[in-house]
Amino acid sequence: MRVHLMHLFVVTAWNSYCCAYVDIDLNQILLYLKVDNTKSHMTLKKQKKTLVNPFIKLIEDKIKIADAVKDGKPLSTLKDIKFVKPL
Amino acid sequence: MSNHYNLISVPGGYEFTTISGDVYLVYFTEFSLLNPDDEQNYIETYSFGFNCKRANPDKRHRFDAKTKATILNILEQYFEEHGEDAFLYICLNTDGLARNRWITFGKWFREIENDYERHQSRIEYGSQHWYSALLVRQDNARKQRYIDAYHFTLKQMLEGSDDDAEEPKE
Repeated sequence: MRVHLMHLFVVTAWNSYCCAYVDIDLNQILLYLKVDNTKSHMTLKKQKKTLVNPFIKLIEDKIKIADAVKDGKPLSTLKDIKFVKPL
Repeated sequence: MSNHYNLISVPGGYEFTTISGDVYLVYFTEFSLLNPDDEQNYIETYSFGFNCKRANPDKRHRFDAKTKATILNILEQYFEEHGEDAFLYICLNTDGLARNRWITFGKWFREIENDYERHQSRIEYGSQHWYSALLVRQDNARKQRYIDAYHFTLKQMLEGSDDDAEEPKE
């Protein structure tokens, strides 16, 4: 549930809805996103299996990286992003 | 004279500085695609991205030719060393410029399309447009596996993608 709420928080923030990260009523979020309950139920089930939506996480990671670069912080401070150096 | 900027290795990625003083950070991260043939396992690949710290943030941001050449050189180097792999990228969509990035990168990648395939997707999800693409070498024996996994992951993770997952027009 925590992961799912983070995804919804990111999406709703972009739509200028203010939501407390912790105290989010899922039904209210679903209403804002105009997602019906059956779809969201299926989404929850999928996310339970896979834990995290990789595309949403990728956008979240890009935002964190952009903020770190802007603030002059090294990428090593971003502990939840798995950087690789394939070159 | 080289047609691209010198790349230096930094923690977490690679960096280059343009003639105008902009500093680009190029990075790869792990990215797990869902496996359509096996629900329990993933197909591991990488995501690619880059970010720019502007020397003059007030000036309009334009990519110069050497920046484009540097990015393409990185991708070609990646595929030289990891011909059996693929990678994907997604355009940041939080500032209203995702489509602009999409168009720009599309033009860049057309310069190397003889050797690589780019499979694109534009999906509306959560009132945002999500522009992403998977790149893979044309001669990669496993390329269809990556392509199938990419589209499968999009379909599973970004709802309402059955129609929108077709190749978008730039």
